[in-house]
Amino acid sequence: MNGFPTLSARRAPRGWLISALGLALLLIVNTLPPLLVVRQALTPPDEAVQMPLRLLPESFSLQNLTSLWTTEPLLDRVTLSLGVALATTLLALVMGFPAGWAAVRLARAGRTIASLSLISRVLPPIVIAIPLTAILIPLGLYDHPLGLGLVLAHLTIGLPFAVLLAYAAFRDLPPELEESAIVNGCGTFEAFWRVALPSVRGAVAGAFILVFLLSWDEFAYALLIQLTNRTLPPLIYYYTNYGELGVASTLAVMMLVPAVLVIAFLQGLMTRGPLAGGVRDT
Amino acid sequence: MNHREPTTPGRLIDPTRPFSTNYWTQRRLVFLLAAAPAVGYLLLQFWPLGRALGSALTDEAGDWTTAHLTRVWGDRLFVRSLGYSLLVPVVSVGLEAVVGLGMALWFYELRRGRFFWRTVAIVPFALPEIVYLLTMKLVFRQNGYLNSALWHGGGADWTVGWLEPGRPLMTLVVILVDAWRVTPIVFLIVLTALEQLPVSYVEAARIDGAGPWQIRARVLVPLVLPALLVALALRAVDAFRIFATPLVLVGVEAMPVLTSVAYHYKASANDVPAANIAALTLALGLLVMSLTAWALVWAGRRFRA
Repeated sequence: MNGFPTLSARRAPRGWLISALGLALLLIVNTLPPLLVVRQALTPPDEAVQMPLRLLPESFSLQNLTSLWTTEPLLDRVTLSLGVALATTLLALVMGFPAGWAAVRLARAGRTIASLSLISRVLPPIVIAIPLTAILIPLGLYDHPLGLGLVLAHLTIGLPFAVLLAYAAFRDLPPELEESAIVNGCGTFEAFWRVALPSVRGAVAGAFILVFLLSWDEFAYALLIQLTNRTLPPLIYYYTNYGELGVASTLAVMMLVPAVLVIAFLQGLMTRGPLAGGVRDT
Repeated sequence: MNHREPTTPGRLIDPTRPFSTNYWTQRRLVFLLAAAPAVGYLLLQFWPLGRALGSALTDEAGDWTTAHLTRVWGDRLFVRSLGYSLLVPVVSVGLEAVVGLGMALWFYELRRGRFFWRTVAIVPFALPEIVYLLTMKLVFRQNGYLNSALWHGGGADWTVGWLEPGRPLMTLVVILVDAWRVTPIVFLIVLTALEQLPVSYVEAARIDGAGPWQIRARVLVPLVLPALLVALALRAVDAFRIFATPLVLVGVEAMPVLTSVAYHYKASANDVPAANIAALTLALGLLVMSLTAWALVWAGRRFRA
């Protein structure tokens, strides 16, 4: 429907060249640094301090990975990070989707919930994290080996996010669907569980990806709350700070793997608008 | 559509839909489900915030005191952090406005490989923050890749202390690194707004004799200005919360911001009241900024209408 805009009747050859150069520059600036992390991870430490560095190292080695494996309980760190992210995601979705649906159906009162979710996303983690640690310590949840305190902290960002995503998804859903379910004998919760929720599967999958990555990538809360039982982001920070950039890069490469997997796995579920035309306008 | 007709007895679904408003608000479960996150926010955000306020203003015996407050306000690190925390949003939002708008206008005309190039453009935002910052550290540090490239080009004399503490260049690099990560947000919002404009606007202007730059400046930019302003208002509030970028690239001392100073008090001396004061200052600043941003957006809407 909307074709390509043509700003000028004649295509200027010089404009094309500038655009191509710009794209090449963009490609280098945005994709070279992540590749340099992979290069750094695979470079033996003594070669990494030479100056000037070359684009490609003279030799490849897994020395960074092996030293990381021997000095750090690597498997524990990875499972902790994964566990916290999964627990945060599940809790956020289990609370967030019913709430988002109820908020849409409550119309005016629901908008208050939505704007409350929006406001609670404004505060930076530091503001909450410092007093939150004071609350978590007597509960025994501070620096918890299973990261329970961190899950609670991550919920402060994951839950409003899930509520807002659910709110947006259910707002597009015609209420007539649930209404006809209720007329046919469904209870209130059944109408949600059997009719409304399955209709927004795509949004659930999308929210899963986003909340999972939010927790998996989160740095500030993890830095303050998991002092010794560290998740991957603060671990990368510590190694960067100690100048062990090769080890930090190895961890960074590991952080990218689940992110890519989660997106690839759930991409199939993200079909949009399966109910478009589900209700007849009369 | 707002008028309501009386529901016919025995008919549950009325075409004007009083059903939705009546039925759901009578169900207690619906209220419970909606209230659950609010309880979560209360316990996990507002309660800690109240505790922070309490610990900032009381001494160990539990009496009211301003001792922590005066001590923090006399700390040079804290005062410097105020300056940086105000400088970052101003410079950052300015950069993002120019670059984000420029990139959106450029991509608007792109014909081939739009999806691919758009993906390339959002790579910095798609990476985990800490991974992105590590890549930037590898590039900008003294023995990093950028200096190596300069060395290959012209020898050791060409290398630059990009992240050398205390220099304006360091501040600029840190802000640039932070702005580049979030420019894709501004870019995508503006590009979406551009693509929703009917192409006929552009065609009409062209047929009337406007050149490409006239079309951009007089037709496209004014039409996407509301979207741009909303994006920038959001970004200004966000830039005020900057934490990881200066911390990871140069450390607390070289470029303190409110968040990192709060972290520094908490981590180095475990000075919780002082950390809370820094955090509360930040919260207060955010409140003022959010209200300003909201007022600007609101005023902008009124102005257009």
